[in-house]
Amino acid sequence: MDDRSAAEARFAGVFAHLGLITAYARRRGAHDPDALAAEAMAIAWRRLADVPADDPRPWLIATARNLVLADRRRHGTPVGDLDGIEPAALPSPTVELDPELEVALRSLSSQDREALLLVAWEDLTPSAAAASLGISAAAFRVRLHRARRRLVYELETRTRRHALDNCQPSLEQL
Amino acid sequence: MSTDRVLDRVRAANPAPAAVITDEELFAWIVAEPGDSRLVRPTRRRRARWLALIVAGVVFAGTGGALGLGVLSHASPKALFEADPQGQYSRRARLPGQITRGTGQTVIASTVHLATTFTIPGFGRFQWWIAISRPSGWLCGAIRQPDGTWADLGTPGDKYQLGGPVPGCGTLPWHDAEGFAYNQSAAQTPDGRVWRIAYGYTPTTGHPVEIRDKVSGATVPIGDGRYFAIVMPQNRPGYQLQTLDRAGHVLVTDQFDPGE
Repeated sequence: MDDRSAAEARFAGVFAHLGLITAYARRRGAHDPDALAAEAMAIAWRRLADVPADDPRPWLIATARNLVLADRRRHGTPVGDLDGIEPAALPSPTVELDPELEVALRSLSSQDREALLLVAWEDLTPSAAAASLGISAAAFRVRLHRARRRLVYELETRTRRHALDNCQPSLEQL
Repeated sequence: MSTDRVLDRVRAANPAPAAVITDEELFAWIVAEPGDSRLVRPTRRRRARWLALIVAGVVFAGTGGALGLGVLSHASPKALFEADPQGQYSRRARLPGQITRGTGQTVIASTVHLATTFTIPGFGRFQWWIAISRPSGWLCGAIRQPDGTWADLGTPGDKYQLGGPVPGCGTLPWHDAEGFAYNQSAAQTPDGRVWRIAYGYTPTTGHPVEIRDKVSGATVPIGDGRYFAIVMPQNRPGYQLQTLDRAGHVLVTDQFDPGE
């Protein structure tokens, strides 16, 4: 197998994650998720030696994140925190996100939210998610734990508040 | 609610689950582009053939001037970018039956300028010229060599053999996780030493004034706001770029690059 065929075979393994990157771009509010994912793949081809052969997802997601940020700058949208981009467009155009969950997610810091979503939506292991953010696995685990705890707190607080609201006697009852 | 259950709830609420996408046309289009030179060694003979086609196309199409290879190799930066050898190469590197796309970029003449220079010991001073293209705002780039010729045009008798992308628009950016974007080249000087060259732009974090290779210790000032070109000896195992601020503090560290 010559250099080019070997590179194409290796790239096929990277390209298999096109759907993941398209979904990532869509969830992070890219204006054209398909084009952004295609650009991420083109970059991966040009820098194939840098893309980890065992699991290219963290590298691809990091690249897609940079492209989403560049996309936002071009469109004059606030880019938010560079370490954990603001998933401003949490709900996709076609699917509604549970409103209670959406509010709770938005209450997290962008870093905590990104940590949570990389594991929950991108289905990355903590190590892979840490690699995509350029931080240590230990630091990521701390961030993820904090995010989960805060999300539980937010959801429970809202549930309690909702229950209290429902328990308030109405004027007619009084 | 436990922290395990909350993760399940977020998972279940995924608004855009990843689907398997097989886009054979996109795959074929991407791999028709020049790949990573560290894995796919450019075949100079093939490049020369493409460039011969470009020249023939330009000359015989009568596009307003006889831009032969000899003329292009010493062309002005503006004329070179307007000829866009990279776009021509890209258009012709497609697979049979594919749509001819090229890069679709046109240089904005008023943006052509010298980004920075770099010196390869034994060769002399090189210039990195850049410009911006429309409609995509890509960075155009080309390296002018000490003898006045342009690198990587396949010019017969090119004594530098720098290696790297064909001059034109769309050779950058190469994004990476840390925000650096740069091209990589290598050159062997007559004394047998091999040099790595990285040239591109820096991350926007902080106020960087200097680039340093953490491995070799080589440093170079940042020119024209964001641009740099650094020459590093290849007798070291790879390299790792860093941006430094005026006080010498490290702002951003790039991923380690084996530089092979």
